[in-house]
Amino acid sequence: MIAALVLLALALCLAGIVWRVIQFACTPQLRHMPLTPAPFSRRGQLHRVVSELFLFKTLFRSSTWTWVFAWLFHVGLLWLLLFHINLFAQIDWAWFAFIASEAKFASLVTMVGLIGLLARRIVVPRVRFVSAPSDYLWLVFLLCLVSSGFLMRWTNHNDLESVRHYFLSVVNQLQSEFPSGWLLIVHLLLAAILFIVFPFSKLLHAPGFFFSPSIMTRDKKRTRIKSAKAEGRNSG
Amino acid sequence: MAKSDLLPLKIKVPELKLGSMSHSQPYQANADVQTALDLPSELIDNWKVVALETLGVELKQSRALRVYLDSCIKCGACTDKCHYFLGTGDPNNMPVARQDLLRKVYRRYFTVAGKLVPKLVGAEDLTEDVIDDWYRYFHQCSQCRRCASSCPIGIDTAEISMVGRRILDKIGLGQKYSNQIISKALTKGNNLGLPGPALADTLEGLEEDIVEETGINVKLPLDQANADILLVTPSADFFAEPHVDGLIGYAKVFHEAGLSWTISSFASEAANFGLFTGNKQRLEEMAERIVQAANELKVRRIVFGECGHAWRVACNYLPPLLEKVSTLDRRYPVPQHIVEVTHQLIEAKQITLDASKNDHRRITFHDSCNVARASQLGDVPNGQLTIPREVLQASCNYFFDMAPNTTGQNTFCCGGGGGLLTDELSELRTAGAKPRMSAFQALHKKHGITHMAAMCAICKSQFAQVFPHYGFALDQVISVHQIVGDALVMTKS
Amino acid sequence: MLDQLNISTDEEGYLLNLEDWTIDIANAMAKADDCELTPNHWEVIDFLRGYYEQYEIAPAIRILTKQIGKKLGQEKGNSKYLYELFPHGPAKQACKYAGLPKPTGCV
Repeated sequence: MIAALVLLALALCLAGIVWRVIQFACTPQLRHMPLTPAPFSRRGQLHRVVSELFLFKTLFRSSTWTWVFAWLFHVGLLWLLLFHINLFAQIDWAWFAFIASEAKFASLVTMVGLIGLLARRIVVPRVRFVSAPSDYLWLVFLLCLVSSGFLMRWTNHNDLESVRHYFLSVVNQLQSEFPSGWLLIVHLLLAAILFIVFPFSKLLHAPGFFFSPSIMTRDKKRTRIKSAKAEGRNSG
Repeated sequence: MAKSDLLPLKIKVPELKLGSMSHSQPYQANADVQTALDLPSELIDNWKVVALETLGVELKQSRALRVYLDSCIKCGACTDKCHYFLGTGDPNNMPVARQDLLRKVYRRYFTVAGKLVPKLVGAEDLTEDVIDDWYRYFHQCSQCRRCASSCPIGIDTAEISMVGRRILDKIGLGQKYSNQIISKALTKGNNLGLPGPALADTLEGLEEDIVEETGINVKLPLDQANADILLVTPSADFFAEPHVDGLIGYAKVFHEAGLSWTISSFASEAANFGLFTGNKQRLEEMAERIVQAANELKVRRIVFGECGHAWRVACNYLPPLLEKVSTLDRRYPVPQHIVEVTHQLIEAKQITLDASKNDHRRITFHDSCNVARASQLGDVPNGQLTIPREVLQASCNYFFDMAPNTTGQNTFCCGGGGGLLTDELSELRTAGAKPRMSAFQALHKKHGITHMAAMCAICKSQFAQVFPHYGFALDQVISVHQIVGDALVMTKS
Repeated sequence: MLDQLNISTDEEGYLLNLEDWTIDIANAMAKADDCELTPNHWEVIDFLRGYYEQYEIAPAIRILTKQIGKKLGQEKGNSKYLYELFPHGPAKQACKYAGLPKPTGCV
């Protein structure tokens, strides 16, 4: 029952993300409007996108403390995502299994990030001013979700094997018994809520990044016929 | 204690002072001005319907707007970046808070969460109070993009304030200053409303001045068909100081390089205030005037004078329109900037500069926001930052840069951009200039800086007005091309 | 005194109709700004009005300074002197007293 709910929510979540991406993609950007200085070359643009996506370069420049917590949080999140994928997909690569096995540590990293972001939101008056109730609620919600998972691993609340078995049975429409444990129920219910609300919330900012004209537009030259000299200088 | 000693040498983030700038708003455009632009002249009866319709249309037409309204995570990285916030402490001048004025309405009427649980997600009904806030605070944004370049998602408040002003225009709340200027530019060819004969007289007067000063017959041609270059420059260059000395500088450079050039009385304006009010139709009409002038005068190149947002329009809107000009020489970038032209002439040694002529000046450079963050110069990345500096360094021996967090990509707006260069906003403009003035003061203390060079008509007018508030003289702001012109070695008669 | 003259002006005190202008209005406007119009002020105002009549626009600052230099002596032919006469900016303040519209644009 719970597994079905979670899976359904996950499906809704993916559909919501696709819907949002389609909505962004179908809205035209009529004007070329790079936020400059912007790279001219494809390589430069790739470098810019990668360093923004993985290192949050701009955030580092503009607000270093936010960067520390935001980056920890996202790295932890990625780590937890890998852990959950591995839980069900059981990928054989050794390095992957190694990364995916340390869920406790990943949860801790994520929680440190979340607590830092929450503290900043409460302590810094400027950030407090621009925060809606949902902005706090999401941080608290994610803290609950991650800490429920963390507690499960820390206390060896239930073994991963039985959870995996249960989910795979539900996917394959086999009879199966729900592995006992209130923490697991809490964790799964929270996950289901997250999945359902995610596409409608600000948490879905990653597609925005990929469709943001100021980041995704590279600069283009006004010169049509390029002189040899200009060519030589253009390798930026 | 001198006034300038009141300035902190380091820019401080102020305490929040809620509502401290809620009294600041520009005059509303009257019926004459609004009617000339086919806009209603007072708040229309069904303003709410029209406002939401306009927002809906803009959302469908602009991916930028949709992404920017949807994707803010309220991380707060932008909150201490706006010069108007740093100068006033009004929290509604924090970029994200300014965006939220529109975003809360967007959420309420266009998103699932805002429709279901408005209070939770900070969504709000569109009321007259909200409209009043829009009118106040969208006119406290100079659209300089400093916030955008500090945002991890690149959310650009300029786009949002442009749409906000567009909505206000459509419901009858136009801004007098900008809309008056747009209607003048569309009828007279320039923002001043300077008619052809007056322009001719002004240019003749300048020719006399140059002869008197240098003994050389430097011409400032008007409406000369078949000239190589059409110079499109802000009309302030004809009218105001220190702008006019910049215009003389361009003329000297063209003369010395032996380039034939002309100004057009039909398109005697580079500035395009349609950008500021988000009025795309009028923006394109004004841009079309340049296209028409280029066609009629059969010029081979189009060169823009020192104007920040004009260059942004030139880079972002003009190239497709200029496809229609068949006489243009495509070996040159279309369009070009005067600073690029001068830079190339220096590199090619077609003009010679004697930097010692400027030895009585110690100079720094103010990066204009629209040049630094919304345009390009030359064919190299960062050209808009390096090329003006190379030109200045070739023209003077004492050049110093202000602190890096206030220059280049991080430059502060002068405080008068985006259609705010009007007297009723003087308090805002003075406060908004504070971060720049702090950086200038710090450099002045360290290196005895005498002049700040700028390459934007708005920057020059704004600094000429606010410098005295901070203990400097109004003539300490100077055109880049005045410095070039003073250093130029004139060999041709 | 300005109120008693019963003239229509815009928000910033510029005359809406050029024809309404009288010497009294100019004096009253100046008085409202705590400014006493001297013959040197009038030199500027008269030139502005004459130029406007011919060209339908106020003269550029450079043209004005040159003219004042000719009339009042070279040492006064600069914008610094004009700012002494009209501390709120020669273009704007002098245009107002002369009954001309406010110069617009990036000035």
